[in-house]
Amino acid sequence: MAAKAVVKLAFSFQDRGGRKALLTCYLPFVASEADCISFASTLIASLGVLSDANIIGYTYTWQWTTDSEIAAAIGSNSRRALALFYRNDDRYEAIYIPSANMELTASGDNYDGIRVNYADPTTQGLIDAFTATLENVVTIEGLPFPGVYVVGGIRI
Amino acid sequence: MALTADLVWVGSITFVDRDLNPSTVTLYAPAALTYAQAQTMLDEVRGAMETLSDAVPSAWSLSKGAKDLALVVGSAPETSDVERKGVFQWRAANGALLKLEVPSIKNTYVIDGSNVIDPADADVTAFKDLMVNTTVGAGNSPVTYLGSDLIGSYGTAYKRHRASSKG
Repeated sequence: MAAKAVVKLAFSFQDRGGRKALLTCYLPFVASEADCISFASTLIASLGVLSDANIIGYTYTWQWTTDSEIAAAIGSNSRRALALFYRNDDRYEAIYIPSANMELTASGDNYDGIRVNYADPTTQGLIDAFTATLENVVTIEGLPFPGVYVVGGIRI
Repeated sequence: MALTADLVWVGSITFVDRDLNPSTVTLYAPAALTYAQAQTMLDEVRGAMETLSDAVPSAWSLSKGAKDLALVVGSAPETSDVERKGVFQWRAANGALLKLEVPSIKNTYVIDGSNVIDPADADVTAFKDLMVNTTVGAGNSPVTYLGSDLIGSYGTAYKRHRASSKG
């Protein structure tokens, strides 16, 4: 894993006609979240004087890239997603993982290659381990991600 | 303008297949998590995803911010135009230049009969200095996209019109 050299700060502007534009600048990657917010506030104060558009928001982003050679498995396909469905008492949510490992769907029955074979202990272990990592995941609205695995399958 | 902090961290993980076709998964974590906690969440989810996928993660990111939730479109002044850019440049320690384009630069900063942004104006000078001399955190200050420290402004800022959704 290699971190990019910088934190990217992007400021969004909107004019009277509703058209938007971005201004992007950078802080060193070691900048903390507090550093980013502090600098963003300082810069917005200055930009708000120079520009007569509305500043409608900003984001700060840390990025990483793999530093090893990328060699995905033969037969891997980014368009073939593994769809995993979860529920709680009142909501369903899905998560889509690129290029499903087809061994997860090996069942020898009519659903072979289509549905996750959760009855297989190895598959069940992998799905359960993945589900456990969703403990701190929420929806875009900030609601807890449902934690009960329902079913999984292939989505092309 | 009042910006409200986002409700969530946004985590993004890009996988690539054998032919390097990308596909990206977006996840959210509570804004209450610290950066380190959110990073741990992203690392754990990414690691578990790798066991379910035969593609490999090539890049990932963690992002947060703030938005004006009360914004009324059309509330900016009649004179506003995000295609009218104020172009500013700075020198970096590695010899490179950083160029920023301020959307909808006020025409009052432009010297009549030219596209030059008044270099003597106090607001203009303050903005140029801010990018060089603002210290945030432990020695952090604005840098180029390659991480080279900005050491001074470069040339005279000017106005130009450019259609763009990016800056």
